[in-house]
Amino acid sequence: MSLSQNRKGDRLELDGGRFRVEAGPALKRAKATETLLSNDQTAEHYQHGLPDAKGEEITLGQHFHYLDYLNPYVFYLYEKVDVDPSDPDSPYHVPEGSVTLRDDNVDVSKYTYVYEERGAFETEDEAVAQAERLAA
Amino acid sequence: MTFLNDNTLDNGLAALKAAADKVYICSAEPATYTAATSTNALGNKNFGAGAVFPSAIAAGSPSGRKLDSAAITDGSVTATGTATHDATVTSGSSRLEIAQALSASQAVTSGNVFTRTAQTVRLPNLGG
Repeated sequence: MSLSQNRKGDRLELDGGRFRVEAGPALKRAKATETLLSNDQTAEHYQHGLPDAKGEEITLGQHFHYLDYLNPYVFYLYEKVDVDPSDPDSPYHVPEGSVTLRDDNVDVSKYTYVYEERGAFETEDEAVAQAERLAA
Repeated sequence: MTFLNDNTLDNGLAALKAAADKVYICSAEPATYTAATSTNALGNKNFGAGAVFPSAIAAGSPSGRKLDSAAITDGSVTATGTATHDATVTSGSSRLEIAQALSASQAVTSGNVFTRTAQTVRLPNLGG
């Protein structure tokens, strides 16, 4: 199954925007060591005592998450899924009368869909192939 | 490290200053524009192009050049979660410009307002 493609800058949109493929640093998990935290191995903002890529404090000897900016980027695949801002159980629920529901700003204060990650791939073609499998 | 003329540094910062228009708070460090603005997004502030960084480019300390952002006083929280990072983007070209950790993680609730102090972006030169 071949999906329609539309390139927008660095991003590839498939099937009318149902899927997006975008390059970025790979998310990795590893044990924090002085060697790995050195600036020639990981980005300089990953240091003992500072937040990792998931906001958890990095502790030497413990596992942490980091974005690998220093090696070739991977291709993330995202799929558009509907969310219901009127559902009180949804994290995207925006209560009526909320101070953020300004008339001039409705488009950015209430989400009706979000893009969920469907994996990271070494090549753009692999990400596209996975989108085609998901759409089949 | 190689010496860079201020003009080179200023042009990099000038591109950011002219284009960036929105700041998002996120539940994790975003790797892409889509992650910053959708997958990991918990809230946003739409400044409009050129208004995220209203100040003039100036000398950085201890070296290089810097650009100060505006503070956020009325950002919209769009999803309930824990904000750990923020991201500055250029929405017109779908470009993730800056991703960084917040000084402290913060639980946020959809429908509320978030605030953030002004931030400084600095491009260092000789001297670190």
